[in-house]
Amino acid sequence: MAALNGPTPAVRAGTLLEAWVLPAFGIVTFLMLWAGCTAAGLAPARLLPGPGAAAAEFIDLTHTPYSGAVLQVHLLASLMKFSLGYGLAVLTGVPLGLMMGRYRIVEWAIAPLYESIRFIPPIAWVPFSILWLGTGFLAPTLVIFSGAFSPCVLNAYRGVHTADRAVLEAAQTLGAGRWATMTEVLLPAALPDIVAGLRVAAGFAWQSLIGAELIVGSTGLGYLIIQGESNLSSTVVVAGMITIGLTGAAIDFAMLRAERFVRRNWGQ
Amino acid sequence: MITRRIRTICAALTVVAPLAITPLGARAADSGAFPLAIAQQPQRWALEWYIATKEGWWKDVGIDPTMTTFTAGPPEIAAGASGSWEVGGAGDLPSMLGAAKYGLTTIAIADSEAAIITLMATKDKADAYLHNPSLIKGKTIPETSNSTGEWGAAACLEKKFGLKPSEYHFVNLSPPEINAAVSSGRYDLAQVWSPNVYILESAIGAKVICNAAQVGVPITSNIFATQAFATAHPEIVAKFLAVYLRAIAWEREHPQEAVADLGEFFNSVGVKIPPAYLAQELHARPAYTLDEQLKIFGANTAGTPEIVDWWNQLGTFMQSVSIVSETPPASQFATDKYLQMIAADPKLRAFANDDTP
Amino acid sequence: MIGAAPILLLIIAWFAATGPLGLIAPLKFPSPAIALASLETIAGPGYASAPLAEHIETSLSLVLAGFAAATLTGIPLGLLLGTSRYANACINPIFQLLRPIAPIAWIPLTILWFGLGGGAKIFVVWLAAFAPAVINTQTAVRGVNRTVIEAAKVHGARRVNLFFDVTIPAALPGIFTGMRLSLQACWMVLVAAELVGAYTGLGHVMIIATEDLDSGMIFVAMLCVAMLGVAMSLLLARLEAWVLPWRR
Repeated sequence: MAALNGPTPAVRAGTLLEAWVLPAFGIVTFLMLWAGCTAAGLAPARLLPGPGAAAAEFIDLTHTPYSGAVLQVHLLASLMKFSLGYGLAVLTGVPLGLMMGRYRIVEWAIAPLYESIRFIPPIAWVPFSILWLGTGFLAPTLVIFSGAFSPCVLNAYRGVHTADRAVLEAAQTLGAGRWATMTEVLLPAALPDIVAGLRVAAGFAWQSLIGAELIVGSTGLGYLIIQGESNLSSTVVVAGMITIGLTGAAIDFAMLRAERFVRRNWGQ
Repeated sequence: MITRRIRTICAALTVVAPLAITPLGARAADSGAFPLAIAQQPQRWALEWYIATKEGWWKDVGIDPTMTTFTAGPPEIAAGASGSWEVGGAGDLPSMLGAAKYGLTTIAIADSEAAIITLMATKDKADAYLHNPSLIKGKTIPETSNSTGEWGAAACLEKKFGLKPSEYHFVNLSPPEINAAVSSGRYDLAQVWSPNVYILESAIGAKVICNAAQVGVPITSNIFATQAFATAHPEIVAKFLAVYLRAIAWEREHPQEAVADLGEFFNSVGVKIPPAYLAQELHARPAYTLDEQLKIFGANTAGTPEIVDWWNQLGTFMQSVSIVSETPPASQFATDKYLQMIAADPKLRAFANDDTP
Repeated sequence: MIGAAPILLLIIAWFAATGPLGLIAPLKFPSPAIALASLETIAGPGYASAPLAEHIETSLSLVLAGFAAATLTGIPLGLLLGTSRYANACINPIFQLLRPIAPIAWIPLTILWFGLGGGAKIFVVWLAAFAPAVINTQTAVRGVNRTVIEAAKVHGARRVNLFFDVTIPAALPGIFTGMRLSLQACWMVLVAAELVGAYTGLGHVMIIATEDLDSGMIFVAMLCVAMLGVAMSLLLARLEAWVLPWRR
């Protein structure tokens, strides 16, 4: 309602408070609690470093190689593996979900398998991933894939169900073929749901990747953490965790933006 | 409709784009040398390859090596089954696992490890446990299941401290997490192998209270080749092994440089131990030259070769903890064929002994 | 939903691919015969230091405890973040930063804080299952129809009544979605949780079988997890139908 007359100063102040002041307050409080805990000796620095030490290590890692590479290289390695597994999950999961939503026979054939397979821990696929795909960039693909696949399928499937049956039938009456119905009617209609699923999938994929790297791998953020743990350098562990958190949050933010964009342009 | 289609394509492209920029593990340009994929771990026995690369010995035998570093044996052995590497090294247990699962062939001993497979106790408890082993009764001991570490720790507890398996609790943790568990102060006794022995000793003053050498458990790491590759390219396997043996001979002649190289190698794979321990690590894990290897493998000796005896003991342990249901006979998974090939070729023999000028 | 025929077809295909057709080497994926042998081993004499029933019992109680902890903490936080914009602005950034860190990456700190006992494992499960409960509850509360709330206010509902009688019932379907995802996350994190020094459990079986390269045993453990997951989610669906009869 306020939008009609332009934002009032009170609303603007409220937005500012909500967008910047309170988030900053929250994060500062968190950092101070953390610093307080370590300074008060609740956890020895050898086990849990304070935020200052972690930040110093973080900066140090960007120019001093650890485990054979600097932080950026580890991050890049992780991101590449992520793109591969995630891309594969999206490219197979979304069409499968659309098909499941569109054709009874596909739903009937796939649903039971899909319903049960989603509970299996992604890390449990590590041995099969290695046995089938070997090492290198491909190694964690299956693991990431298994983490990201299920939200992709599920949301595409749900999206088709929310599509307007009348529009679908109208398109078919007007002589749209199967392919055209799929790409021109169902996909656009399901897109908001699909993008929401892609966001959840990205989160799962990122978590699975780190898990996979902890077990196999010679580069990547997960590997960095495990080496830090092994060397009892807790600052490296925490700096690695911060990088994982920041990157994951950035991916999530990008996906959220994409979701909003799609909702604006395609949403009903 | 057209714009909608374009939008759809754009949406699809944003999804595919990350895929396109992912390089699919392109191999180094062909320089005429034989490309060889080697599996290693951040362990002392991979130092030989580091030295060989540093000294430029690979091109002398026409091999272009690519190293893959694994954090542990089991994933390395699994990767071997998918053809990710052709030759490599690992501990006793993974070597035998590979032999039992897909005929991995051990071609030489990498190093002896009994002295660095240990039970460690925290500073304040070590002496008490040594004087009165019955204090260990009922303790929870973090260890790495299905490893040579478990073998050594169980032997220590039985032979040195007189404890039965029912009198303590082993709990499975990976080596990095054992470090975390012990340094958290919650566990005062754990099974540890190097380099973690040095990390715990220097960080929290933990002490070794027993090692596998004290109780006579013959633990080694081994160099192996996959069966398919060994059958197809026996001469490459022999040359690869010759490079390894040359580095061992070189280490004997250049002990100072070897220590420095070990520090560089550890640093490159992310292992950080205080420099003072580097010499100790090399001393505790001796490697064997060509002649010594031949002797271990039983050339020109009567009776059972030493290695057969070692492997049989390992096989008994692996069956006792049901890692494998039956172990193949020693003759099937360890061979001195490639050692003999080097010994029979004067040029290669001189190379392996680092006698070449 | 669960038809027997496709599963039967899949089993036949599996038989054919690993057996007569020889498409898949037994080391890369177990044949039905190998899987059956593994099942017999673990059901009878046991594997990874205990028989199957004991592994299932351990994992089931771990998942239940973690799931309970996650929903009992996650739903209230989600309600708070959904109803109070200021609480949301304050807490959400921290939550968004900590959430992407995989539970497995917390293991070093978990060992430090909780040792290797049951608490440590429940904490790891909680780490995974907490976020879906929070996010879906928050979204559900935000999505409650404004008109309904305004109508209740017009009719003189107090804040407390508004919250318990209008907001929560309207948000319940979304909360249940969160619980379903939480439950899935609990099972998905099982291996990570049982990396923290377990004696028994299905995740522990997977870890040991991975070290043994025993693909048959890994497969059996995966199958058990899948079936338990399906069974628990069916129970949850029953609960949802009972709590929300108007949604049937």
